[in-house]
Amino acid sequence: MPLDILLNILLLAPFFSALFIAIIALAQPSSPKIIYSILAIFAPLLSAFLALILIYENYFNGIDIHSEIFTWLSVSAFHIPFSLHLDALSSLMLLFVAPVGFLIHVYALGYMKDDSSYPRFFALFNLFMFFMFLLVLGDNPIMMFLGWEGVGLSSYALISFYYEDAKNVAAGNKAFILNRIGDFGFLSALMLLFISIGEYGFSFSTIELHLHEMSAERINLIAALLFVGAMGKSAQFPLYVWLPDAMAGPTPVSALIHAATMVTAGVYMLARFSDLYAMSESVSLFIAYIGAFSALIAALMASREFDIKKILAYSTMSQLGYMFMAEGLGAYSFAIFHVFTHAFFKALLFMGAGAIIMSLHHEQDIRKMGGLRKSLPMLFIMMLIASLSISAIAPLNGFFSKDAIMGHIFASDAYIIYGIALFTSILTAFYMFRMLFFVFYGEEKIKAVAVSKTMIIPIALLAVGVILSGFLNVPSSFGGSESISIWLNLPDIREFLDHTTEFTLIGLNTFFIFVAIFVAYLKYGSATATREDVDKYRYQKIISNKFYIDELYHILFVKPLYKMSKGFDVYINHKIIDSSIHRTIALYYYIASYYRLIYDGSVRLYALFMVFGLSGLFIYLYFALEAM
Amino acid sequence: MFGLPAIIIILAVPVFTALFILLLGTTKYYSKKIGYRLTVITLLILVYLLSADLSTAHSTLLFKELFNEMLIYDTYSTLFILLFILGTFLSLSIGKSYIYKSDIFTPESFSLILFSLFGMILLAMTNELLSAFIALEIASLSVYVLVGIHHHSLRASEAFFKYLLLGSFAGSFYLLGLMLIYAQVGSTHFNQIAMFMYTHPISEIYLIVAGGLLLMITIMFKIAAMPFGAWVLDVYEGASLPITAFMAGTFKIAIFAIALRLFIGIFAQIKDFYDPLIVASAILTLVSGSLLAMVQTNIKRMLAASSIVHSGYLLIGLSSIGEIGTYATQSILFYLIAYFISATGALGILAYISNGVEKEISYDSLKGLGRQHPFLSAALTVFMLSLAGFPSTIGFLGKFYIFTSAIEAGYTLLALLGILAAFVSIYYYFKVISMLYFYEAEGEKVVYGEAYSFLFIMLSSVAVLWGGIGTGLVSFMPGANAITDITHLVIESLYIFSN
Amino acid sequence: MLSNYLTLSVILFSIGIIGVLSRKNIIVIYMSIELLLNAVNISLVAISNTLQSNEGQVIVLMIIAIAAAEAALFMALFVVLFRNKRSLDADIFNLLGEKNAS
Repeated sequence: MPLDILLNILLLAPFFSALFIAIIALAQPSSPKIIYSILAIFAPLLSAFLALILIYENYFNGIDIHSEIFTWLSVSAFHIPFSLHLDALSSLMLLFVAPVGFLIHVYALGYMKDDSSYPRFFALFNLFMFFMFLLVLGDNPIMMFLGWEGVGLSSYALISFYYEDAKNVAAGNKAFILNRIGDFGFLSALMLLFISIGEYGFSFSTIELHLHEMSAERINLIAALLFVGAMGKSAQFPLYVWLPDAMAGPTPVSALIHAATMVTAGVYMLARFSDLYAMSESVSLFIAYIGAFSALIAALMASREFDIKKILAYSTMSQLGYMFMAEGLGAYSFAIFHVFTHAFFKALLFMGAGAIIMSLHHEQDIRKMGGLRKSLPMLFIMMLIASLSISAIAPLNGFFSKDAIMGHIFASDAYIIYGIALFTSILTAFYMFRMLFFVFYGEEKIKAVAVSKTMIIPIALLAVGVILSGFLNVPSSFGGSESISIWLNLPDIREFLDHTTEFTLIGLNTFFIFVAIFVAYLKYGSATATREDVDKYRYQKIISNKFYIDELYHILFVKPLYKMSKGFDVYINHKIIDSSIHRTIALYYYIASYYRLIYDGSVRLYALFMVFGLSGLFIYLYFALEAM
Repeated sequence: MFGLPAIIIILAVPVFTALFILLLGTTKYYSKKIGYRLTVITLLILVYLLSADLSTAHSTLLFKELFNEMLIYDTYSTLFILLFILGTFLSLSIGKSYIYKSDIFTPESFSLILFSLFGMILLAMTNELLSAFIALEIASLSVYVLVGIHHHSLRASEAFFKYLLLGSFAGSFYLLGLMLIYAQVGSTHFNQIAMFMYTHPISEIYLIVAGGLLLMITIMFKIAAMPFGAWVLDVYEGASLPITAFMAGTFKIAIFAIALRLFIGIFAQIKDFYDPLIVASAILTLVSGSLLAMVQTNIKRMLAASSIVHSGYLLIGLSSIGEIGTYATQSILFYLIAYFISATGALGILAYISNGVEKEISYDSLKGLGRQHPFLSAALTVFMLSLAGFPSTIGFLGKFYIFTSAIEAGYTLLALLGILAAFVSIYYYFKVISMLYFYEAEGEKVVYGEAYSFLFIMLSSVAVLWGGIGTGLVSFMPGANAITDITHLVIESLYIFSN
Repeated sequence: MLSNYLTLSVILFSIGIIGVLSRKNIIVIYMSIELLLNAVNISLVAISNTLQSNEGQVIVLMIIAIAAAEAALFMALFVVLFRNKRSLDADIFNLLGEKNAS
């Protein structure tokens, strides 16, 4: 079969499975669960399988696959095809989106098995996969935007999945609204881009060709606006506050959407537009600082958090910060590689956390956990692997990606950012092991129930991925060839460190990480540890309260906006708009009630209208011919 | 299948089946089932015969020996004939439950539908004024009788009366126009009329101009353009629902088959002269249609009034046909297809839920249908959205093309009025949707049998969506772009011939 | 000569239109419509004679055939309407108008 058809199938399989699940659930609400399960698993499996074939073709045979499905809209100059494009960058994204997505679907079968809204969950979950594929594979920014909005929509629906609880709905709304702010930036950037160079066509490749035709200011503006979009989707300061709340959704959702795939869309988007960012140094540097700052505050907040899922959410935000640091300093391929490795270990951590939550009867507070090492030994080992990986311990995948980023930051002479990155990296190790010790050490407080196999097996497979996937991009200092960076072929700024410096940095970093782990052990893991974590100092209190950012936003934006909207509602909406609409309708009705009288059903009257029409036509004829 | 036999078969099959049903109807072997099935099978045979001809090649075929060049068989007529047949098929399929449950569908009604189809086929192929009139009359007379087929009902009889009387009245203007053109040209062949106009200055073709004006009156009467379309509300209301669907969808396309041939073919040179009139009529039609549709309480009547508005959009398209571009013509064809599916579907649903009883379906009687019949309501919602021109339905693309072509032709204000009318139409279409979903059901859930009709309702609602999203992903299912392509082809074939 | 025929035709056509508009009896209205057709017929015959072509006369024959078909329908209409209301006054058949809707 031609490759482009395979690509179409890859994209559409999850869409149709979502559609079928929805139809079956609506038409036959009492259908057995197994039907939904088969549908829900089959599509991601097919997609993952096809993804591997296509990525193989791209990597080994260098084939870029292009598939123009149809012309979406075409009005004179405005031509938007619905087309897909698979190049190295989207291949690498697919390489984790599809398989990790499939594994999380399998995991979700176990996690959701007792839920009454089983079909709704899987319909939305599959729909998410479709939009994510669309986002990654779209050949033009419009397609990407479609996918971008689509993943936002399914993410919103899944965050408020347990909509009976108003809190969850509020969390969904928060995510949606904050993402809208980002989308506004994204959309404005696209419009600007279209106005500037849209006449040549609007696919990524044509945009790339014509970038130099824009003035530097315009490029800076577009770059900044695009980054606003990325900030929203990828939870960077100051638009990050939705991410911790998004953990209200079911854990598979957190694992897939809010850790492995959707939140990295911002990083992907920046890499897609890397040619643009390569031309805009000031914005890039700004991005790097935002990334560093986000990474730091997220790590700080994580180290004082007690909700296991929120800890992971903050760590996601922190890792995303690393990716933006790398992109800001021009190391796009390192950032994308970190996206790739991050997907594995973060998905593992979330799925592990989900398994723990399930086995402890929906307990999420780590203070109430403990001693699970004995009852869930497998899970402990795998969580340990992932924690070591996120802390960047060789030879796990996190080490390779994060270390490449750290090395690049140092080599770019961005010492402030390096300092923040190093400190954050130490904090990362600290809070991850803090969580690990809380959960698995100490005495058992709640009796754990065994975890089902459909949940453990995907976790184990991911653990294999965590161990192996790092070797795909071994840096030259370890005798590797950086094959992924070469494959991606992004406009990277390459800065090389000499090997001594690099090994020194790695050694230093690793040493500090071990110190941090040891400190965490002393405080929370050892037999004598108090495992109490009350706020003794003022700074701890500030961190525990998340720097009061939520409150600040509430005072600064939400309250004034609310008051303003209230005013609008009462004065403008009700008194001006509504009443004018009602008046228009009333006037309309008034006119119509008289107008309709002439259609009173008398046939001779209708004939008279026709004769009037006839006369009108001939009067026109007379004058028009006269005029000629 | 080009060639003499094919056209004979296509013309003869409906006539002979109609006659056969008529004769069979007098025997004891006839039952409604047999009549219905014979009709549908005939339609399917016709589709089979035609589908081969709708190829990518342009073709124009005149029949000199047989019809003295009065008929022409080109890609244009092929598409239209296919549309008539599909339209009849769709109306009958959706209306099946009504037809089976109601007792007004005598054998003659099936014959009349086929006779009317025959007239429309002839109309699409006609290349001469008189044969056009005869074809139009064959189609119209059958439809008149179909409107009044329920002869015990005063409403149906009255609708029959109004339609027949006004129709004949309008027809006499056509003949007057024909007479004027004949007086000037000495012939009624389109080719010769066009040739005459090419070779003579404007001062020598006054009679043709006046005659064309009179022809236009009949066309405007049939498509319900104001001020000639006052009959629409009453006739649509009086006719039984499947017949209304047939009239609103298929018959309207038939009128445009001849209207486009006239305006692109012979009257292309003097069209600038007619444009102000078409614009005036479009404005009048849009305004009166919108005014009338808003105050209706009976949904059938509302759809009838809104069909006036849709004629207004089509007139906008008609006025923007220029000499060079084929875009406006294409947009008219697209709009016709879009409107035909949506209107047939919407009226078909009304027929389906009225269960074969001719009763007034008011807004209130739809309350709570959303809960009781989720799929039916979803389909009705889709049709309403499409009629209102909501994005991702075929109706949106139709309006979009019409308005852009109007703007390209320089009728920006007219396009704005059209958009305003579309805006107003949201009011009365969404009222239906709100009845479906925002109110509790008052009565018990009624079971409407006949899965066959239901299937076709669902299929057309999917078609409405499919045509709106438009994709060549599944190659054997034509989406919006395929419709655009084919209309383009069709219009080109018309130009080849006329130039 | 032609102008005389055409004048007659115009007069007949006008009478027809006025008849359709002003007469109440449906049979008279029908007759007026026939008058319209016949007005056209007269001028067609006259024109065809002037142009020395037979086409016009063929058209007239066709129009007469169509008029016959319409006549058949009108006859049926009279029967149906009279059976319903025992009257053929055009103005009493306005059940369907906007007056009675809603």
